[in-house]
Amino acid sequence: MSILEVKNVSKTYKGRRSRSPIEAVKDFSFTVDAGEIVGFVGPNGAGKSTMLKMITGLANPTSGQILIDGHDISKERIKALSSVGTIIENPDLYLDWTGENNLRYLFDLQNATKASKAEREAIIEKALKLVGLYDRRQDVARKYSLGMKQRLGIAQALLNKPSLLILDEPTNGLDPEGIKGIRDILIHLATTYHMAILVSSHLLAEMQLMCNRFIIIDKGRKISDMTADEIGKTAGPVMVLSTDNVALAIGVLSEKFNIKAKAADGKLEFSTDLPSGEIMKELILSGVTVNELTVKKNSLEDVFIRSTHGRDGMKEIFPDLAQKEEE
Amino acid sequence: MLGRIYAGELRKIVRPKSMIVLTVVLALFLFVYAIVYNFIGNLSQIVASTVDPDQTTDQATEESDWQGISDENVDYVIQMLQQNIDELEKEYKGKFGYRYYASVFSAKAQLKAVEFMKENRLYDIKVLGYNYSLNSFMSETTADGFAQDYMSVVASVIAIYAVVLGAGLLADEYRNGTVKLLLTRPITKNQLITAKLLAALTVCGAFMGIFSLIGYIYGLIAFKSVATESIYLVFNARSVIKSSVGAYLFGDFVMQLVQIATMLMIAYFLGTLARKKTTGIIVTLLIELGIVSSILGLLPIQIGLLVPNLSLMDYFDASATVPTYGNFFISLAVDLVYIAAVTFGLYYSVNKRDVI
Repeated sequence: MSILEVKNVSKTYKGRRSRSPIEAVKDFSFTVDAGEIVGFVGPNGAGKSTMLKMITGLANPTSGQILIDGHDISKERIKALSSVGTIIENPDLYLDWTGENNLRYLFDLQNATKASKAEREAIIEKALKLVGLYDRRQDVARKYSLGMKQRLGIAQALLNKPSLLILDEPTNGLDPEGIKGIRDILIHLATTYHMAILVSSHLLAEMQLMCNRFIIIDKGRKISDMTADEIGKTAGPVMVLSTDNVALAIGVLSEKFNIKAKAADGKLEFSTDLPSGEIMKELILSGVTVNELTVKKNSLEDVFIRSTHGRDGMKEIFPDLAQKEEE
Repeated sequence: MLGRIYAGELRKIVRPKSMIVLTVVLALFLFVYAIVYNFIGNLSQIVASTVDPDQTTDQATEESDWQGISDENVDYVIQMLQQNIDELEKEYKGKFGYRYYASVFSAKAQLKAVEFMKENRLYDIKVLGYNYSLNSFMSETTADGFAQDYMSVVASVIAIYAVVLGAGLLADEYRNGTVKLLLTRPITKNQLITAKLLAALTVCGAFMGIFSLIGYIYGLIAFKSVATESIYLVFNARSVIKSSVGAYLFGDFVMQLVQIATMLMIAYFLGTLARKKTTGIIVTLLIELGIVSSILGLLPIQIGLLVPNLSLMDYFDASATVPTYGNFFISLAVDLVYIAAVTFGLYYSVNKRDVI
């Protein structure tokens, strides 16, 4: 069973006065399993935050069902939320309290079963050490840097030993070091504790470094749901050929391998699953001067941009989808 | 679980800064009142020893207070009061909104008091409702008078604190974004609302109780107590009940607490609804300071009923202006509906609306 199951969820906001209602999320379904880090990506206003708010019980879905560990969040809120850890948007803390006291207070709010004081302190200490804030635990949260606040936010999300961790833009506004810190913690949690993690971010390159799967959302609809491997393989790896004889090279590629190459900036780009060595050999034998032949993988960014901008780009990456639409 | 949330909320409210400010303000008032009361005590002694006793009696007669009523003129006084009520009903009915009803109510209470005096041949200051309020009976230099006056100051200070506190209970959490931390915990929204309400009531009640007690203790030390003396209260302008000063004071304390709790509830609801503390504070004060009721009360229609007088103790005294229809039970019912509506509105709106 998946840790998180989102079934046909829609969310409609009432329009103000004369404006018509806004459909923020439309008939959205997906699942997240244990040990997975799922990236939730989409342009601004695509409905990412709305979706995450519904999963964490901050907003009510207009229709559909959200199950966490098999518990419906609308009906069994306490059971559903007891296995979720969350950071939504900015790290919100009680700034007048120390980091440690923030955690103590929040710990008391989420443990229906009475943990002893010693147990509580042990869990808090563990969480603080995990996010590297143990030495600064006595400091008032106001004095923390954004990165430290974000890490304390993660610590509070871990207090109930969640099976599902939900993070909305956890690396927003952080410096490269801070971003790496968060990434390392998340990967550690997914691999060591087998947590299911759903994370949204604008930083696509960053997401590609830590997520195993990506869900792309645009205008409230699911555009794609693919693993990191699938992203790299969409339409095969792209090869870039730098040559002095562009016309000849196009001819050779078309004749020998049936590859349609496109010329761009004096270079040739084409997609193929064939090994680069074989192509290089054939080109040289045909008298093409090969200055450089590189293989570049499709990045999440490529997929993202193509899938959220323009139908042509989408058809290119998702031929299945295009076919379905035509039918 | 509610207990744990309550404990956390209590910790948030009991911040050293606000607690110290509140304590200092209340202690300062105690100090000022103590000085003023001692001064009045000395002054009245000086006046008593210098003024000619005959002159005092004349003045009292002219003011036609209780001292002026006797077996000889009681029928005349009753006749005058009845005439007064008839005139009010004839000339002003349907005008001046609830002020008309309040005037009639007050006049009827006076009539009842004098009728009671006649029946029992008890022409005494202890019969309240005829020109005399409890305050003047207890005089400024009794322990009970001091305690009651100081208690009303404590209640006013706590009421303002309750409004500020109540308006921010959830609104501050919305502003700081911490509401997201709270409502993504495995707790229900109702548990959070209730825990916050109980914690705020505890703090307000504790301050009210402790400082009222301090006031009474100071009163006992400085002045003599009349707590066990009997008084006759005109209730609801209909009947006369026998009570003691102590019991009346306790009743007053309870009613003040209810009023504070109501103000807290209204501010809590409005602040949460607007998700803005200042809006909650301003609107609550506008309602509670009687500004809204004064404006509405001037209308010939009975909108005044919407803003009832929460000081239900007024119905036991008839000295104060009593808005609305001047009936204890109607006012009590309206108050209860009012509190119920605010409570329902609070729980319903928080549950129904998205948190962010």
